[in-house]
Amino acid sequence: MHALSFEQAPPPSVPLRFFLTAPLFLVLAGVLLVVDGAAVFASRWTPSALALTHLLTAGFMLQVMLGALFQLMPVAAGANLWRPRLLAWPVHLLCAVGALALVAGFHHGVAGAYLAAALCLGLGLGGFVACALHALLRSPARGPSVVALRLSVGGLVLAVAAGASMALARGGFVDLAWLRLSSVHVGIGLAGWGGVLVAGTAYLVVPMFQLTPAYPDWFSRWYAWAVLAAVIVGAAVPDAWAWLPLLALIAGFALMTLDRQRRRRRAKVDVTLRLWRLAMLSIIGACAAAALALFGIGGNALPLMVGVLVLMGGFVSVIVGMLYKIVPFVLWLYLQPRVTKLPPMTRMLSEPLIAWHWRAHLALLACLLAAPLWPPLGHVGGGGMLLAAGLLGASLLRVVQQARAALRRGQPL
Amino acid sequence: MREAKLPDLIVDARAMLPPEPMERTLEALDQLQPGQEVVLIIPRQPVPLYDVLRNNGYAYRVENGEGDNTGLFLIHIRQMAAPA
Repeated sequence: MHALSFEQAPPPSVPLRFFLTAPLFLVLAGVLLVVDGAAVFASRWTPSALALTHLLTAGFMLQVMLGALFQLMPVAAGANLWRPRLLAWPVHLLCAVGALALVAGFHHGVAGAYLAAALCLGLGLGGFVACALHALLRSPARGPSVVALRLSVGGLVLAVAAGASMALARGGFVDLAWLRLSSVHVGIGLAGWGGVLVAGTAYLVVPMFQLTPAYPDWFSRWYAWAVLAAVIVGAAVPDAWAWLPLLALIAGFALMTLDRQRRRRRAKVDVTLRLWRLAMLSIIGACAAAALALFGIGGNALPLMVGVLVLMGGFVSVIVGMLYKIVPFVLWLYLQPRVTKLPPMTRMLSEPLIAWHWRAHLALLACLLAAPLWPPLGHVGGGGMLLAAGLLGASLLRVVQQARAALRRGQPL
Repeated sequence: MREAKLPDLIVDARAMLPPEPMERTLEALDQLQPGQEVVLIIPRQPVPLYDVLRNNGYAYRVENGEGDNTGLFLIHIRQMAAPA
């Protein structure tokens, strides 16, 4: 079992600014779906579909992943970022503005917006990655999570470089040939960056927060390297089958996680366990569907369903499940030495709000999965997305309010 | 006559989610009498707890579980002896 040391944790304001901004991108995604839902599900290449995809990836997911890295790198990997409080605000601001500019570029086809997005995301992530790699390479820690964090940050660099080249090509600033990078951008962004980061985090948080046995050593030691090799094969070989090893590896991680959950030591099922289970089942479904879609089976609808399964069913479920653990935990750890008679952490969350969020999330996922078959359902999905985003935001804000109240009430005189 | 040793306070955290093991251990430490120990049974190294113990004048000893307790850690916690 890998140990965490919280003495190195940054102040809670550092990760929380990312975690609390993230639901706003889901709200925007909801608004986009309400307005443009039918266009989103007409084809994955419509401006609306690209805008929605990047509200989820460059907006929601990137915000949470950056916040998680600010928190996890020092705690799990002994990698102390250079002045995290000072670094966090430009990274947060530039990435949030960059994501908005990118979405505006896709949706309205504005050349200047693509340029602004490439500049903001390039600067924000460039600064973050430079500091992160410096800290990660100097860290004396050698565990599988550290390896996964290093490789995933490398994946982020490549995914953003490919994405920025394509954004500039769409804006007319560079040759259109760069648009051929789209498969590589998706493969590296979702598997090399997102997937490996989720795996590296899962080795720590799944046993800890879901009371499961640890991932087997052979698995956690080699998984990130295997994903790297599979991404290289997919990118280098110009044939659809070359992506199959990557799909098999991603499904393998999901199956391994489901197996860990099946062996958990606690019978009680909470929302994090439910969300992670939903995510792993969605990922397995997505891999099977993607394997068919690679060979042109399933027409226009199947790639859209894969997108819904990966992004909403997989990443958003995993992230929401972790936010419900990490946000109260980060605040509880901060309050613990500062407050006398601290209430139990579980009381910081509202169980009814979370239960409603779980139901809204399931309904939203079902609706978006059916929308490729009947695109007008996308508008209904927008309503579901707004509801789910509102419930997530309200739940997280409640935790912050509870922590503030405890700090006011319980400070020793 | 020597006073009989008080029984140890056991916190069985095998089925507890973070941070409940720490919450329960700190509650048990509030009731700790001189010479008595809190024994926390937990399936992982509770590193954040060690930080809290060190900062609050407690000594601890980590024992690896054996037999039925294989894979578990038994953390024996007592008040640090006052400096002479």
